[in-house]
Amino acid sequence: MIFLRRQLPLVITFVTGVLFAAQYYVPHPRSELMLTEVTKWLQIIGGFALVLGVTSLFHIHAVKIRRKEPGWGYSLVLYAGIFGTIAVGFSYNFAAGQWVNGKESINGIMTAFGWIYLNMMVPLQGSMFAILAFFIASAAYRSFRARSREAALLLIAAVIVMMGRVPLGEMLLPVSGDVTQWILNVLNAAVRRAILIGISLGAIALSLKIIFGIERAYLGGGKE
Amino acid sequence: MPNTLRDLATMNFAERMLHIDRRIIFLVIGVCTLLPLLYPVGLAIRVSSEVRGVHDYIESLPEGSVFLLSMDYDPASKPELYPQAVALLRHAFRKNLRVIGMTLWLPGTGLAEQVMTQVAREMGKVSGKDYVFLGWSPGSGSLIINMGQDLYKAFPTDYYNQPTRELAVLKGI
Repeated sequence: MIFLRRQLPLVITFVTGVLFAAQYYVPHPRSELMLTEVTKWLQIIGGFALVLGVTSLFHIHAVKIRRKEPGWGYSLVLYAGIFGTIAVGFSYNFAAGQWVNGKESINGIMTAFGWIYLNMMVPLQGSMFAILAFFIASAAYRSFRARSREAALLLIAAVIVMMGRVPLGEMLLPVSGDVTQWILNVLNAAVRRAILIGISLGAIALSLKIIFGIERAYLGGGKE
Repeated sequence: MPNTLRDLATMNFAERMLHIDRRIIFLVIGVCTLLPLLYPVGLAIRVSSEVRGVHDYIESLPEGSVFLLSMDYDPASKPELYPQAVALLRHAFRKNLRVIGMTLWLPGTGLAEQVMTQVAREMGKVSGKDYVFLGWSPGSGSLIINMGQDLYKAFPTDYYNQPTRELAVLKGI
C-alpha cells in the first residue's frame, strides 16, 4: 500500500513535472498535442472543483442546521436557494420548447433560471458591492493619516489618484489625470511587476520542490 | 472615538475631522453618489492614451477581422465594466468585424450573453453569421491554451448549443 500512497504519486509527479517543463521548449506538433490533451484534463479537474466546493458548502451548513448553531436559519435559506436554483436550472421551458440546461435565455426567451439570475443574483451582488463601498470609504477616511513621511507620501498619491480617476477631480485639478496615469503606469506597474516576479520565482521554487519530492504536503497526512 | 464632549472640545480641527461619526461619512458618500445620479452634472470625460490606443487599434482592423472579447465581469463589477463591453462591441460591430464573445468568469455568463445579444440586436447583427457567443468553460488558463490549439475542441458548441464548426462567423479560424 505504501507504494500506491507514496511512491507512485511521487513518480507520477516527477515524470509529468519534468515532461511538461521540457514541453514548453519543444515546438513539435506532438508536443503541442500532448499539451492540448493535458489542458483538457485540467479543465475537467477544474469542473470537479466546483462539485467539491458545493459538497463542502452543503456539509458545513448541514452541520450548522443539525447543531442549531447561531444563524442556522441562514443556512436553511442557503439550502433553499441552492436547491431552488438547481431545480429551476434543470427545468423545462415550455415557451422555448427546450430544457433550460442552466441557460439564462433560449432563442431570446428569458428562462426562469435567467429570471432568478437577473432579478435576484444581480441586484443582490450589486447591493453587496455597493455596501462595501461605504465601508471602504469609511475605513480609508480613518486610516489615511499622515503619521510618518511614508504615510504622507501614500496619502498624497492616493488623493491624486482619486482625483484623477473622476471627471470632477480632473475639472478641479486638470493635471491630476496625467499625474494619475504616470503613478499607475510607472510607479504602480513597477511595484506590481516586482511582486509578480517574486511570486513567480516562489512558484518555480515550490514546483521544483514538488517535482523532486522535497515538498510532499500534497500527498496528505493519512496513515500509511 | 472621543468619549465625552470635553474630549471633543480639547481636540483641534484635524483631530475632530478624523473622529467624525461613521454615520456622517456614510451620509456624505450616499449624498455624493445619489446627487449626480438624480441630477447628472455632465462633466467632460477625458480620453486616456490607453483608451485611444484600443480605439485606434480596432479602427485599424480591416473588415472581417476576428475580434475576440472575453467579458469577465459579474454584477459586482458591472458598473465599471459593462459600459466598456458595450463600447467595444458597438465599435467592433460598426467596423463589421467577426465578433467572438466569451467569458472566463462563471457568475458573469448571463450578463455577458445579455450585453452581447443586446448590442448585436441594436446593430442589426445575426448570431452565427456576424457574431458568436461561446459562453463559459472551466479552466481559465488551460482553456485559453486549448483555444489557441483548437478553438472547436475547446468550444464544440456555442452558448446556444450550435456546433461551432458549422458557424459561418468562425469560418477559417
